[in-house]
Amino acid sequence: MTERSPWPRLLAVVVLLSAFAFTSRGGWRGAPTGNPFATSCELDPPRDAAGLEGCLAIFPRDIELMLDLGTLYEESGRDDRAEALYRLALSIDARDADVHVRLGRVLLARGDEAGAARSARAALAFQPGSSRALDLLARPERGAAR
Amino acid sequence: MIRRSTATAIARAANAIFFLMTSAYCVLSYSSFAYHQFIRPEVFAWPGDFVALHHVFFWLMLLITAATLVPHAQGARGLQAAWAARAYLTMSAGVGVRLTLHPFMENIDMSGRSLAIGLLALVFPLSLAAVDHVIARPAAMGESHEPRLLRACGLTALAVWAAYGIAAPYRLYGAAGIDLPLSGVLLGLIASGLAHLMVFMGLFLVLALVVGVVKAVRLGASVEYWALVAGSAAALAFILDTMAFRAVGFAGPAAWSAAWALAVTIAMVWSGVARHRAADRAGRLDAIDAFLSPLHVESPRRRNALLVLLPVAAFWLAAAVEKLDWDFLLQKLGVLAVWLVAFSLMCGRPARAGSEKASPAEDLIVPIVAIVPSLLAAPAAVLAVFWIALLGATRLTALSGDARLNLEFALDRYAAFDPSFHLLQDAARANSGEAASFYGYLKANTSIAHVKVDPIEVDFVRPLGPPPGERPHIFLFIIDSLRRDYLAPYNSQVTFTPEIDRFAQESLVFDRAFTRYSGTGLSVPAMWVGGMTLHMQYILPFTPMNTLMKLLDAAGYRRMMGIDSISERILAPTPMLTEIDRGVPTRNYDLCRTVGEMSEKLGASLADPRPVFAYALPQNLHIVNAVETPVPEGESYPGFFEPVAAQTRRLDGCFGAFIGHLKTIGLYDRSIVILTSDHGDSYGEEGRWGHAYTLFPEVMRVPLVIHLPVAMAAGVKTDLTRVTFLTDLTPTLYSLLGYQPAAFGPLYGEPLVGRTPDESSRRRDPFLLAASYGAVYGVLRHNGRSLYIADAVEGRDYAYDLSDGGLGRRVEITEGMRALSWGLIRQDVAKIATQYHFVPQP
Repeated sequence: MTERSPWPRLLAVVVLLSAFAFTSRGGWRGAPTGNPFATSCELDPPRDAAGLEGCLAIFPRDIELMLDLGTLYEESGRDDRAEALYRLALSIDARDADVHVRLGRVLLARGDEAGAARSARAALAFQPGSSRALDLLARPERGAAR
Repeated sequence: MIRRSTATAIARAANAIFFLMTSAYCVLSYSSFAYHQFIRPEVFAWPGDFVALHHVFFWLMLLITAATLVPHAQGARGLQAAWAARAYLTMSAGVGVRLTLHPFMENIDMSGRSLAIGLLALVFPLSLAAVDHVIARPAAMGESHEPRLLRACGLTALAVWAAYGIAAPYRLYGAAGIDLPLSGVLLGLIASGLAHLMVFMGLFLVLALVVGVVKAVRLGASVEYWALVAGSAAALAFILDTMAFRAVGFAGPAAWSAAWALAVTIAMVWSGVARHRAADRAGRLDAIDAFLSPLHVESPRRRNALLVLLPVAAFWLAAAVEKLDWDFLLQKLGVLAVWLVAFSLMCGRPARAGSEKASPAEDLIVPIVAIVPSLLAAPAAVLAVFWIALLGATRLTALSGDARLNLEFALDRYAAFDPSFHLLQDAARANSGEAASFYGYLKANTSIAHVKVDPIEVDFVRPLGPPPGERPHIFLFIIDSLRRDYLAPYNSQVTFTPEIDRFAQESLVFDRAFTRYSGTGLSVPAMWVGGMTLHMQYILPFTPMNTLMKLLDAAGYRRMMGIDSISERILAPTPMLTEIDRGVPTRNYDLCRTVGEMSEKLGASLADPRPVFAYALPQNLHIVNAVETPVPEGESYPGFFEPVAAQTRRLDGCFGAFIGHLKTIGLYDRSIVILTSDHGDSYGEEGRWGHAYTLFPEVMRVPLVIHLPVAMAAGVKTDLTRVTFLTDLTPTLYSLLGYQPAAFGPLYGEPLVGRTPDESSRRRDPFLLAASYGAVYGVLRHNGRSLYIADAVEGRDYAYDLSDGGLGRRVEITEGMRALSWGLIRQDVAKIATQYHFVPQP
């Protein structure tokens, strides 16, 4: 029996090995998910309400976005929206004293003094000595005194 | 009756292990990380014993080796062999006498001399291997056959996949807190099977290439044999350099040289043993047979029995080391051993065809492989199937919308319990372009050693005079590895820390405290500085940066503390010190013992008008100690890692007793008492154990409880829910003593009390975090609610949503998140380098 030439087989091995080396690099690591608007929300967040609402739709657990948007709502007199937003933020992080203070402020503006006091007390539990929370507690009392 | 070649193999293995341990000890001492974190603090007791008895072991090994060499020295295999054996024995005896008179191991330190000695130690096993090549005649060898190699590679892939795949679901469901549905496990098993097939087909292609070249150029089987030896040395060097050394922070030319020296030594010792073992085997061997002779098992029955035991061995190896492992390093090394044994068993059939009956497993598999029409189509098919399956799985995951079925997360979770797949997953990861550049930059700024860096002056107050306010006593308890969710003030499920709970009710409990560094080595120094430092252990003298020590000196505090392996480096000697735990090794620091001694010494010095600064860094909960301490009979801690929970209960009692003592002697209301930890620990989360160089939430979150003297507590202003760090402690102490510490930005600490909490800008600042022992950095944003981790060691990133206040949940990485986080990390790392005038070498 004549022995076959080893060269074709060797060539095939080299080709396959090269393919193996090429394809096995990089593995099965997940690539970051890309969305230009989402990227802009994180790198350069918008300052207008519509832009922030769009970002919040993509990042629904971002409390900083909620606070920025809540500020805009408060400034434009949309306290109901601000309140809903702050309550949503507290459902994510119930221990955020800043959000408690903001919620209290909105509640006070909407005439809910008891709710505002509750929020102020919650804030003081996490921020002992907070002047904003103390002020919130004192305002209805000052009003009653007048 | 043990064959002579088997006895020789055992003797050579023992000899090689001894010299490799000697070499590794010396080489690793040259690594700043390994020296300061493992060797100097004597984290494990056995290296100390090895050093102390080194010369005794040397003689023992020489005796064992001599027993195998004496017949050859007497001329049993000719004159050349005799002289080789005599030369080795004479050289060893000479060195043994020198070693007995002047033992050197106890003087090994972080110097270049240690590295040189480590490399010189390899001369012995290398010389012995050379002697073995002279005295053992080479066996008659033929070239290997590709079909046999293909079968062996395919069967090995199946065997190791099955060995680890069988154990993985069992380990996975036995672990706490792993949220992986059955579909995720199946996905893992499929991916693991394909990955194993792909890698072993890759191995087949490499072997086929060697065989093909040898045949084509008619070089002969001995060339194939030596190509196998050289290839295994190269593979081993790569593994040692990229996997073992990098995991302990040892990189660069020194690491590369040491890896090659060790790898060549191991390959040559292996080859020497192979010579002896092959000479005892009957018939003509393939080159691969000769190479695998050290593991050859003659009896098919024994081979099959070993194959059946392989899953047991795989499970046992993984389970035995997982809790003490260093980021899966030991498990991965165990995997390589299992691979080698499996491959050897599969290649074990002698080249003589038809001389043995095939095993039932082979009867089943061989026809499957045989149906592939062409020999070389098999690896091609595996490659194609793998990529089709991967792309399909990715798409299915996206369609399912189930976060638990996220391909990357599911495979990571599965891999944590299948170390073989874990190894393949890590080996397949490669970065290029921007990622490679970013990770390279982090590495160049990490574990800096063997370069001169001058200290810088850090002063929160300049000039620093006596404190304008009161000087309360300060008690600082940093309990190594204490996790906040093992304390009642942070976790309502905890019932075993009533004393700390009571203490917390009289104190400020900071809700989102983090460590800046995930290991003691840099975490504790950063606390003394009150800020982040260059990634170096350590810039000496440390005093110019040590702002806490400056405060203690300026305010006239007497110190009551143990001088642990870090304190002895970073603290200047002072006559104000009353040392406690004197003579106790750092790893044995026990809170109960420490507070007992503190109580005694406090009682004896009550008349001393100077305020006390007492400091303790107990090691009871360090994973190395915790796993060795049995849970007392009758105690049970469902939902917690029991050894740690039991130890925490004990510490709670001792801590409570000490607080009671402070109250009794009237110091409690005049003292600041701080309870915290330097970092947390992983107790099986996603299969992780310990803290190594990871930045996962359970490692980075720490408890922080501060009790203030009555006078200071009245009207205190603070923000318990803003993100806080251990680096805030020193500025806080400055503030409590009446100073106005300077604000140096987010890389430094800031007082936690005193200022109106509404003014804190820190809620929105991003903060750099880092591992102490590897190029792993993180950025904490959104007031501690989001954590991004860039792991340059593994070449991958992670992101966590921590808004649940606990261990958080892993989230997908977005492009924006990555770009922002990489930018912030790079910027802060560069700022630190600039501060210290350090120019990283790429």
